[in-house]
Amino acid sequence: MYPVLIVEDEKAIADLIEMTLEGFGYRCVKAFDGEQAADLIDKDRFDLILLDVMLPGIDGFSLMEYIMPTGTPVIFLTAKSSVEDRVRGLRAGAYDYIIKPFAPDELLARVDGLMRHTGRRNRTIRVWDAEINPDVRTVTKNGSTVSLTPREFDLLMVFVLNQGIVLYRDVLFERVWRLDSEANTRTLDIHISRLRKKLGWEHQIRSVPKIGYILEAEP
Amino acid sequence: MKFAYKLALVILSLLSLALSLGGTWTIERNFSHVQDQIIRQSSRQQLRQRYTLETSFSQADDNSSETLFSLATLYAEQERGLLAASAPSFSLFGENGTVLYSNMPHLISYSDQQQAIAAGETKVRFISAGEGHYLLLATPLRGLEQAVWLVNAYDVTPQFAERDRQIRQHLVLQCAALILTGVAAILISRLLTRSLQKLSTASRALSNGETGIRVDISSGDELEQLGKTFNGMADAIETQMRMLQQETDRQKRFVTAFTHELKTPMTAILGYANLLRSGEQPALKRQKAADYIYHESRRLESLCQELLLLLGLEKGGICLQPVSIAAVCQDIRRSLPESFLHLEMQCEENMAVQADRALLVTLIRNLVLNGAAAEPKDQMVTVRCARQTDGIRLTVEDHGKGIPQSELDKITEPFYRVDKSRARENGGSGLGLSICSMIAQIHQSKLEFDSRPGEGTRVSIMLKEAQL
Repeated sequence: MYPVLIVEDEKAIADLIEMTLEGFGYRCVKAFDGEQAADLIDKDRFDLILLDVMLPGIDGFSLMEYIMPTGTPVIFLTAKSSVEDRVRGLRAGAYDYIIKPFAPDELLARVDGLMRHTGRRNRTIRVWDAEINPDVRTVTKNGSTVSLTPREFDLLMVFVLNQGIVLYRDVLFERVWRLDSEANTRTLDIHISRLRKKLGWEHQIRSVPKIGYILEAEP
Repeated sequence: MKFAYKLALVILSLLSLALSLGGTWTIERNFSHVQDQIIRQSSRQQLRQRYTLETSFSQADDNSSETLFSLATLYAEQERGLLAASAPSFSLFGENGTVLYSNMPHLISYSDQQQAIAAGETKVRFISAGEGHYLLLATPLRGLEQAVWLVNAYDVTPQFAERDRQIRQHLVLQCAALILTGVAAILISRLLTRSLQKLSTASRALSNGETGIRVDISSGDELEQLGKTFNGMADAIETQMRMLQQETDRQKRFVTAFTHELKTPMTAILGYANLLRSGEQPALKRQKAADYIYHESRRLESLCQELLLLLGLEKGGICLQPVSIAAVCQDIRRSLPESFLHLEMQCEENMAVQADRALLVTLIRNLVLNGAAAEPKDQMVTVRCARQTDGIRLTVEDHGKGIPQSELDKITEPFYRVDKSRARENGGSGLGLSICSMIAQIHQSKLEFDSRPGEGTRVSIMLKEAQL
């Protein structure tokens, strides 16, 4: 497993990406300009490159030509949201395109998806005793399929992407139900108890009083 | 219809009219001259005939119709003997229009002859009968018992035939002339309108956006003048298009840069905030995230302020007053941070300029900060002010790393940075020099840059001197 290269001239954003990916077990290397990135690409191998388009010195598109022969997948990060810019990026050989400002969860989901699609990670995520396949949205436990409703699966994915972190109730609810006004936080509690029951995770998903829930990290 | 053909047609019509009128007039004049001759000749002949007949009739015993008829017949035979075929035909009419004698051709009717008599002695009548033309003359015979009229018919067919021939000849001539002139007229008009054709092609190209198009007409007339005017217009359009394009490009660059400037702190703030609110993070991570949120927000705030200042400056309406240079220097010194490297001010006492004090301080302060950011080797930025013939020149000089020549014309553009990553780290919004340039503009002046990479930069501005 090779690290992820983050090419971003803004330290704040480079750190944000690193922080997000590290939580999910990705090792990260940062480059703050085109030349530095080119040097690193020459020297080391990477599983993925997150590339900012507007860079001092060599810009993202030019760097793309440099990366192409190595076959490393690239996700563009950019503030430019026009269709022609996106098309240009994808034409240049980028795998995906993330427009700033982006939510860290979205970035993580895209990166993780790409890694599994390109065979750089397992197609399934192993958490405790469950195997989750996010592409086909299935969960198996001890070889048998656990049937989950779409909401339950979304909830499980939020826990998986933030394993080991106590998640606030409101935020959990907001991430899964978005702005669905019909539901309320009671719904969340019901879904969590269903999830616990179906997966047999009475202890793994722990309720933290007055704060929320946590999916315990594996020892 | 093409202008060339119109012109040719007008020329042809005029020529045709002139030729027709001229030809008709000439032929008619000639013919009327011929007619006069015939009339004179015929009158003389008739007079002679009249005398002969009058003499013959007066010598006769009586003037009965029979006698007159036989005498006339006799006379006609004599005439025919003398003059052969050219002898004139004649008729004699008695009272009440009775025909006493006639050897007129059948073609000349009785009524024609009667009309000739009714017209009287002084009138002549040309009549056409069948293929031929005749001149009819009537005169009364005098000294007889009964009123007898002599009517003569003279054959004028050859004269009329000659006139018709002349008309035909003229028509042929006119046609030939018209054809020749027509061809020539078309050629000449085409030659003349070729310049117009050029102008038309060029105008069409211009309206299709080919602003580089020019016409080349050297005919030495109004059309050449028009061509020059057209070229002048094309020049003006091209210049304006270019300026418009530049302005659009500038705005596009501004929007792109501004979006980038805005989205970067936004991404960081949103991202870290999202991280913090989603769950309990380790203390170190939490500290770092909060720190970034704070600094990026500060950056947005200062960007906002500078943008507002820039927009305010663009609106104008600033009043310039006499400002003492010494006061400005004091303000600058006070506004700089304590830790600032050495600032030297070389200003004469008692100098004043026409300016807005706060804006002038902002301008010089920004330039001084830029100078300091260029990492001068001697740790010093110098502000100089000198009296010159047309005002007071303020100069800010550093011995830092300088600005490459190729960047000099872009550095006053909003968000333009020579060293992109470093300038942002220093907290610069990228609007500093845009603001300076705008302030200079408000003072009816502009920033003049003189920079050599590795040696340093000198920025100066010329201000109007004022009396305190």
